[in-house]
Amino acid sequence: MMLGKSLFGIYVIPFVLLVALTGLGVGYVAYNQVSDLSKEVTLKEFQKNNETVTSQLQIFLEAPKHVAEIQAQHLQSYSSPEEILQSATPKVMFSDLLRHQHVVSMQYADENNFSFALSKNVFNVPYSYAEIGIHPKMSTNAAVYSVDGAFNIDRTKPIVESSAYDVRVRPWYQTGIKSAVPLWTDVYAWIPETGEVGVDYVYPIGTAGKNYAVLTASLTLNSIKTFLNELLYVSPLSQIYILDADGDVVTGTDIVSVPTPNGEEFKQVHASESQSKYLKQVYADVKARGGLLDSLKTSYRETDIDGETYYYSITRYAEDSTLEWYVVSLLRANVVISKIQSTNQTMVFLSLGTILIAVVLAFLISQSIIRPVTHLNSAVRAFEREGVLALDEKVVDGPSEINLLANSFVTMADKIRGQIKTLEKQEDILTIENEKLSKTIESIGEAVIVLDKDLNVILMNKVAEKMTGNPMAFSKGKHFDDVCILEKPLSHSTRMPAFISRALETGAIQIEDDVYNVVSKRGAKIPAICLASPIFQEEGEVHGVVVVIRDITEEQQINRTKGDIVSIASHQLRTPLSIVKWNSELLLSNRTGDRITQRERTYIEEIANAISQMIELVDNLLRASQFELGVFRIKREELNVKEVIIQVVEFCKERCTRGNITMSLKIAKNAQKYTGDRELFAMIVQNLITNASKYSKDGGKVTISASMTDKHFVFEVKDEGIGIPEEEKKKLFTKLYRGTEARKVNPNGSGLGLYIVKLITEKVHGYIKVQSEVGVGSTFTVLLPKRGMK
Amino acid sequence: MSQKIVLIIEDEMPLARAVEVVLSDHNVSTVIITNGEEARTYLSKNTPALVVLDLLLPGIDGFAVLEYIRKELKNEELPVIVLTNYSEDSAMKRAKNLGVQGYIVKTDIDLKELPKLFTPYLK
Repeated sequence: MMLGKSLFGIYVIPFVLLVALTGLGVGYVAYNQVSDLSKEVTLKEFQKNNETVTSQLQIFLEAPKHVAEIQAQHLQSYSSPEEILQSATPKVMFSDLLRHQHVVSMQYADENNFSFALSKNVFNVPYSYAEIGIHPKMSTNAAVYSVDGAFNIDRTKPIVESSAYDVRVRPWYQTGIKSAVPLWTDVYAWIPETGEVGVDYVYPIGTAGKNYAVLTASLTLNSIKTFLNELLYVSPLSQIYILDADGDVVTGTDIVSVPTPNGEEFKQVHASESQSKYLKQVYADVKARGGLLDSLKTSYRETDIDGETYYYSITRYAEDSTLEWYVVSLLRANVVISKIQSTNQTMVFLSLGTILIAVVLAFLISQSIIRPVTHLNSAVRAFEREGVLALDEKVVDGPSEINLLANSFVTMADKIRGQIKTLEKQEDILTIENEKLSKTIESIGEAVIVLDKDLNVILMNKVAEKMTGNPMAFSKGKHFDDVCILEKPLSHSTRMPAFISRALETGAIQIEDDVYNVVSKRGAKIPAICLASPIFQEEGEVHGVVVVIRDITEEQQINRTKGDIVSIASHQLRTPLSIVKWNSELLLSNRTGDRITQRERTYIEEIANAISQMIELVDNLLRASQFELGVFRIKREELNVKEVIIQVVEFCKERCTRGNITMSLKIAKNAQKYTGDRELFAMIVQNLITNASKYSKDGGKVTISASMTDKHFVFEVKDEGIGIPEEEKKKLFTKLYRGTEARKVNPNGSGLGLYIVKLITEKVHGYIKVQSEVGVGSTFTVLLPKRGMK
Repeated sequence: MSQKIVLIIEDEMPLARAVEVVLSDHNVSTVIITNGEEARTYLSKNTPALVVLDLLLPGIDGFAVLEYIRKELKNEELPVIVLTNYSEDSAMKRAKNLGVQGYIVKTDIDLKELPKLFTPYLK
């Protein structure tokens, strides 16, 4: 199967290639487009996420405020710490603490350094309760107990118990008590032992100007960091930091905070050097842009730090002028790019996957079509060989279109089979006919070659095979020229003779006068005469030609022998005739010593006349045999018609005319010249004139004329002689025939003269006719081809 | 008339003699040879003014004699007139190809006409 011309080659491969190329093209365009798009999308998303982060963080940071506010209102109704301790307030505060996940501690402190604190996850217990300060009911000045979820204080074993516990009221408690409004503390280490660092929201309790206590809600930096990290679910690519008013880092998603060794107030958070550096730069960048603007909330900025591009978004979080934090979301451009790259990689994989699937599908689809077609093809091949169309299930179960096609093939095969049967019947009939024909052709003694209209051999019989030396198996379908060489003995031309194609063109049987040589394969030359007969179709159109070639070797042999006999006989006859002729001439020549009497002279003259007649007879016999055998050549020269005729007439006057015969000669202007063989033309003229004068009556007139018609040179001799009876006219030109009246007039005629004239005229493609009336005269007309003798 | 000799090669003595007679009337000397072999011997030694040649000769025929003259003796000049009863075209053509000056069929001609045909070669 040629790949290039198969369905597979024409459709499937290009289709698959097209799909693949389209896929790649689309992939390439999409890759570029999506790269840009995804950058934009990523940054938009970043910006949007920041809004979420900011609002979430705000809620988070405000939680201590709300907790403190609610509890403070609760505490307002008490006038002393004792009252609070005896009330259910700590319990309420505890449940509130539990509700606020990130608020790690709530503390109550009065101006007398009495305080209690509720904490989550401090001192390595889930919940703890601390009583601090000197109180009359307290055994110790400071103790921390663990507490269960229902606020049952386990006083059996304090977690921390120390009389030496350095109970300090934080300075901002004092500040808070004095303050009219709640305030945030700076970052400090509120439990230095455990490294807990955080901020407190301080809420003054009491009437305005007369506060007696503060309530604080605490957030540790770790809890803020945890929350920020939770927020990373919202904005997964960025890092979130909180900076203070000086641009120092408070905390961040990837900041490790380390407490100061002495637990004193501090605000140093250990960021790594690079973190500090770029956060400082971001801060500087914000400052350089003229501070924080509202618009920054909804947009991002791009900045280069150490050759690396960052996108950041910054939000100011300020509370009552006591807390000024900046929430910074920072996105490294590299992260964006790698995200995009990974997106694109995914896309490329998807594209390639899609292309692959498309290619495989295309291949499978095409196979599902091609395979049944291929099977159909082999089925049809098998049909060609065996005549049975067997379709296997691969074809029948193929796609419905193929199935339809297959059914059409089956129907077609049935029809073809039917037609073949009909044809076979017809063929049987034809075979019988052909056999008859072949037998007929075989039984013909001549070589028969049947040619089609292109002159290629259709059929030839055994004789033709033998003659040409080419068997039928070789010859069939070959051009006549390649099978049978017909050569004219003198021309040696090996081209196919014109008569064969003439038969095709004219539709008339062509019988060749010329003798051809059939040159066999071995070079043997067989003399033959040929004819070509057109074969007609029913419509009357010529569609071939039958060439019949007759081997005339034997005939020629016979003729040659005959000719040799005639020629030798003629020669042998002539010799004694010439001896008698010349010696009688010598006798009559009256030389000295040969004196003869008048009577003797008469005798000798009669001998001489008889000898002359004899000589003429021998000449005519010799000529007739020559013409019969065709062993003479026709020369072509321009003849002066008048001159030839006059020469003949002169000759006749001497030899054969008798009595008073008038001869007249009429030659038409256009008949003065004629192309032909002088001797043959003279022979025609001589025989006709001799006859005319021989058989004329005494005083008769002989009219000789020559003229030219459209097709013929016409030579006519008219006499006023004895005439020819009607019934004898047909025999007139046969060999040795002599008319009854003629015999009476001239008993010594040979009966060869007109026969010779007829032989000559026919040889040169002319003919002779006679008009005659007994007692009135005869007219002999010879018509020769205008173009001359050939 | 000078003593030029006409060689008559003719196996039929009556014919040869008849020719000799008419030629002698015109004072032409003749030599008669009746076969081809003798003719060749003669021609190898003598050069006649004219050869009158019959074609059908016993033994070596007239054509062989003619070929001997033209090819072996290489004598293209010697006039040869064929006088024979052979009238076939083929013979006539062959003789002409060998360069004969005339071809006469004996029965076609009267004896008295011969000298007229020969004299042009005897001057």
